[in-house]
Amino acid sequence: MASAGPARVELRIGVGDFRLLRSVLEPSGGRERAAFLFVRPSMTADCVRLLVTGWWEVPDAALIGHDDRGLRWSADFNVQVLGEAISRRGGVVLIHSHGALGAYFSVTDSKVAASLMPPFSRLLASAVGSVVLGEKGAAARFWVGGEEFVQRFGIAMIGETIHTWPTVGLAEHSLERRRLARQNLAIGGTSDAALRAANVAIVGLCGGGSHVTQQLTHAGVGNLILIDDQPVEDVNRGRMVGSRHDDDGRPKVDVLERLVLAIDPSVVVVKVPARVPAPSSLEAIKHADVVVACVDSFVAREQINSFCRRHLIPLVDIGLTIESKNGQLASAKGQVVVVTPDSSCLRCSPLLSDAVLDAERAGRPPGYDSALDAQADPQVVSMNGVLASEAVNCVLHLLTGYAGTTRTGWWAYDGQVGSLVPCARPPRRLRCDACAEQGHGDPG
Amino acid sequence: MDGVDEHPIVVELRQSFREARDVTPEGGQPLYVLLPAVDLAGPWHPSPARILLRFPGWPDQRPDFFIDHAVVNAVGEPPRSNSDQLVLGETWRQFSYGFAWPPASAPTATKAVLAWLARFREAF
Repeated sequence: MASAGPARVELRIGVGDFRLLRSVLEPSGGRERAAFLFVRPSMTADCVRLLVTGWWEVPDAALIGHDDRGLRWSADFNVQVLGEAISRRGGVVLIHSHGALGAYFSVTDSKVAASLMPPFSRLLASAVGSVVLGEKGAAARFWVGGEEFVQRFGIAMIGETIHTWPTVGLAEHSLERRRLARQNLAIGGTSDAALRAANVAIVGLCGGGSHVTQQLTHAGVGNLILIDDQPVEDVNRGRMVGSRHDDDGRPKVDVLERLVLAIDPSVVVVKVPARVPAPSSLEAIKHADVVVACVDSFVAREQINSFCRRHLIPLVDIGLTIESKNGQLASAKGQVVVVTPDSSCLRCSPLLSDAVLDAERAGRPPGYDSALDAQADPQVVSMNGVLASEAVNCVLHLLTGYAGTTRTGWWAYDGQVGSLVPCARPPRRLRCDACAEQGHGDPG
Repeated sequence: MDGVDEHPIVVELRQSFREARDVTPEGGQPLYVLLPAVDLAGPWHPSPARILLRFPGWPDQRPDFFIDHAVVNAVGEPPRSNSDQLVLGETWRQFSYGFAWPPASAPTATKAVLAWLARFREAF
């Protein structure tokens, strides 16, 4: 008897990996095929995200039968799978496809799942399950600790855009908001519902983050997670959108909540008055579909990049470095970068090289950021706004796919000449420490 | 598989600190060792506490030392000059503490950990 457990299970996989998996599971002609996905958990209070870190197809050598009752393979192969899952400190999900026949558990599918998964679930550190793909959906059953639990299920494929299979409740033209009518004409009728359902975390709520928050609210994002531990100071109000003359001392999260709710009182705002990587900030980020990082330190940027990589959460990062000399602007260089599971990450690039991080850590030893004489960097509201606006475009594309074409995911900004130029993304770096933890989810 | 190809530092630390284990992620990363239960001196609690070590540049460079985020002193404060660090997907506490390295005699991982642990003989 299935029991209540987490309300939702989401299988999270890079879109390239999912395409490859489907090509194996759904070949044209030939026998049915199955695979075991190796997964690591990323848990929140109401959702179990299972992050796919690899998979093994059930090989021909392990098969002991294939007929109209389904595929059968040796117990030895199951033992190998179990051993691999234990070494990876995660779980497994058995997956196969019925193609056009639809997503349902046949009698054989149910028998296999019910015989295999409960014992697996008692031995493994993560929920385990069985998934059947169909042309227009997926059926799934999951177990934890030997018990099956009832849940809603979806597959999130993370690439240049985020797709959910099956899509639920996103019928075109349902729940359209009149204020978004012009936007819907531009980026598609299904965008309204997709944005309303989305959870976006914004880390850093001052120069860049305040713009991002304002625009995402206007654009119709329904759930915002605002993360910043600082109060407003007078020196912030030269660039913090939404701040007022009487806000000094008020938490930035409160100021931006006020801004958001004045635009749209239906937005669900979660305020996290903390700094990454405080535990509360990380727990909040895990709820996000997309994270926008608007922080002013390379080390913070590195930690957000690492955490998002670990939990397969797409990241949009913006940053701006202004240098002045003798009171004159000398340079204003910045970037907008999108990191997805299929792409290289910030640590793969010179932007977050060891030298850059070491230099910042040397200048900011533990305890530095709370010191009264911590260095203040030059800032200009309009330059922040350029980067923030493109970051919002990136979020919209991730959630709706509106651009309809491949975007590089990397833009270089020069505030002195006034240019924002797409450029080639650096390749994945061998021995990148963030990529080494990709998909590892919760600590084991 | 037990004991096969284990890093000598892990083997050494397990002799001094129970259940020390290698938690190094794949992909050519520096060695990470988790000490799941290390007794702390004085008012620091909870004790035993978890410690995470990272060994870039060993033995010329002392290991990076991270203490369980929950560790505080008698008045509920973490070690002075501290910062939160995200390591292996979890928030750990790092703090500034100086000691001579390498030591006068041959450097060992145990000596490094004991040098770090001396920090907790101070109350704040």
